[in-house]
Amino acid sequence: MSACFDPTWTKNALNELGVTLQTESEYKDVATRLGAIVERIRHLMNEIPDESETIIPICKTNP
Amino acid sequence: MMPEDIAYAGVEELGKAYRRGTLSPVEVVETHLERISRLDGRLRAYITVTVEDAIRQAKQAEMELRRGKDRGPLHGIPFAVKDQLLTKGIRTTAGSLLLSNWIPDIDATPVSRLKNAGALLLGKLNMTEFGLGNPSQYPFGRPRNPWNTHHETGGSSGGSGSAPAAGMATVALGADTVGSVRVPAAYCGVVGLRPTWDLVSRYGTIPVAGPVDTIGPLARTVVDVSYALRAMTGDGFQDATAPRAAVPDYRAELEKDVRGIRAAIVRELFPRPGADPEVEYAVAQAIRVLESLGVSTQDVSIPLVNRAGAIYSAFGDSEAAVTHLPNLRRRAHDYGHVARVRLATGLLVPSFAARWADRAGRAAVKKQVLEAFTSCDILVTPTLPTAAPRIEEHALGYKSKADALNGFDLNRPYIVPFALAGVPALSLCCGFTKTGMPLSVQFAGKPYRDDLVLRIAHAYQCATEWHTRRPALG
Repeated sequence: MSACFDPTWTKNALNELGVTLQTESEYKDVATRLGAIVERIRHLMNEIPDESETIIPICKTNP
Repeated sequence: MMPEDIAYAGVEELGKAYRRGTLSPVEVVETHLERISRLDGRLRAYITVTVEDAIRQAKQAEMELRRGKDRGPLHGIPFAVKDQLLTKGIRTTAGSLLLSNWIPDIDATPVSRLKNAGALLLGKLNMTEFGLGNPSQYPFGRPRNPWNTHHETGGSSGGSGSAPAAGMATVALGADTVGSVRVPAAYCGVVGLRPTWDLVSRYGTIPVAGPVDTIGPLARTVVDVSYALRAMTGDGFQDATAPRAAVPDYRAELEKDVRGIRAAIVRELFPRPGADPEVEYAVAQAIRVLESLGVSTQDVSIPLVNRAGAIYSAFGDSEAAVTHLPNLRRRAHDYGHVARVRLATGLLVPSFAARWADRAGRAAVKKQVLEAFTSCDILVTPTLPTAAPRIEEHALGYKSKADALNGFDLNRPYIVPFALAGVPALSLCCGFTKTGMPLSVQFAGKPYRDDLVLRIAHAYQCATEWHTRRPALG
C-alpha cells in the first residue's frame, strides 16, 4: 500500500484537492510521512485485537 | 520585597501582600513588564505584550480592592496566555503568519474566566505554528529556555513554560493536545497540568484535534495551578462538550493526606532503554519521596504506550488538515514548511487509517490506561526521556521512512497515551541535570480525579525544594 505514496502520486493527489506545496522536496516529505503513518497503522490493525462481539455491526447506544 | 522576589511570588504570597497593603497590583504588573522588557528579547516567550492594557487592568484591580470589591485568590495576579486562545481586542496569531494581524472580538472562555476572577493579562505567549509541535520555524522568534538559552523550551506551548519559569508571569495558560502543556513544563521546570479532557471549556480556542484538545494551566507551584484550574472550571460554558457542573475546591483538596494513595510506575516507560540516566535517577528519587510520604508503589503494564504516537498521527493530522483545508488551498505559502508538510499529509491519510486510529486505536489505548487504574490511583512516569535538548537548526524534511517513524517513538510514548485516554496528567520538576537543566516526573489520574493528581504533586513539592530554584537570568 505504502508503495503508492511516491512524490508524484502525492503531488497529483494534493493538486486535485487544490493544494500546492512550495518545493518538490515537500511532496517527497509528505509521501515519506504518509507512508510511515499508513505502514504503522496497518501493523497496528493486525496487532491490536478486534474486540467486536460480532461481525454484524449493531448500534448499542442512541446516536 | 525585591523586584525578583515579586516576580517569583506565588498567588497566596501576592494576595496576602495586597490585602495587607504592602504591595499593589500595579507594582506587581510593572515589575513583570520591566522584567519582560529586559529579558524577553533573549527568551521570546511572548509574541504580544499588552503593556497599556495590563497597567489599566492593574489600576482597576487596585481600585476594586481599595473599595472592598475582592474577586478572590486570583485578584491582581498576572497571567499570560498561549496565542492559540482568542483574546478580545488583542492580536491572536496561533504562532502563524497567516494570523499575524488578526484581532478577535471575543475572549476564549478560559481567558474570560481568569479575567473575571481578577487575574491581569500581560500578553500572548509564543508557540509552534498552530500548535502542530516541533520542529517549528517560529515566525515571531524562537523561544529559548530560561535555564539555558541554548536549549529548547519544548512545545507547542513553549512560551507558557518559559514565562513562569523566568518570572515573567505568575500563571500561564497552555493547550495540550498530546503533550503541549507537559513538554514545555518539563523542559522549563514548572508545573503543567493537562486536565481531564472535557473539564475546561475550549470555546474560543483554535483547534488542533478536537477529540483530544485540552486547555491547561502552568505555574511554578501546584498551589498556583490549582487556583487557575478552579477559576477555569465549573458550569456556564458555551461549549458543546458540556463540562462538569460542579468541581472540587482544588486548593482545599491539596491539604488532604496522601498516605494510602496507590501509585503505579508504568513498566514500559521506567526504566526504558535509551532514556537519559539523569532522568531515571531523578524519577527514582521522586518515587522514594512519594514512598516516604506514605504512598504505596507497584508497577503496572500499558503495552500500547509505544503505539500511541502513530495512532495519534493518523487521526490527529487528518483532523487538523480538515480544519486548515481552506487556508491550505489559498495560502499554503504562508505556512512554515513543517506545518505545511504535516497538514498536507493529513489530507491524504486514507480514511481506513484515520477512522481506525480514532475509533479502535484510541479506544484500545484508553482501555489499557483505564485498566491500569484498577489496581492504583495514580500512574507515574518520567514526563520525557531527556532534559531539554540543545537548539539545533535541523535540516528540514525526512531522510527516510525510519526517520519519520522515529518521530512517533521518541517522546510520544510518555505523553500521548494519557491524552488518548482523556485522563488528567501533570508534569513537575523533580531535579536538575549536572548542567543545570530541569528534569521532570509525570503523574496521571483517573478521569475527573484532577484533584488527586494535584494533591500528590503538592505533597511532593512540600517535601522537596526543586520548585524554589530560579534560573540565573540577571
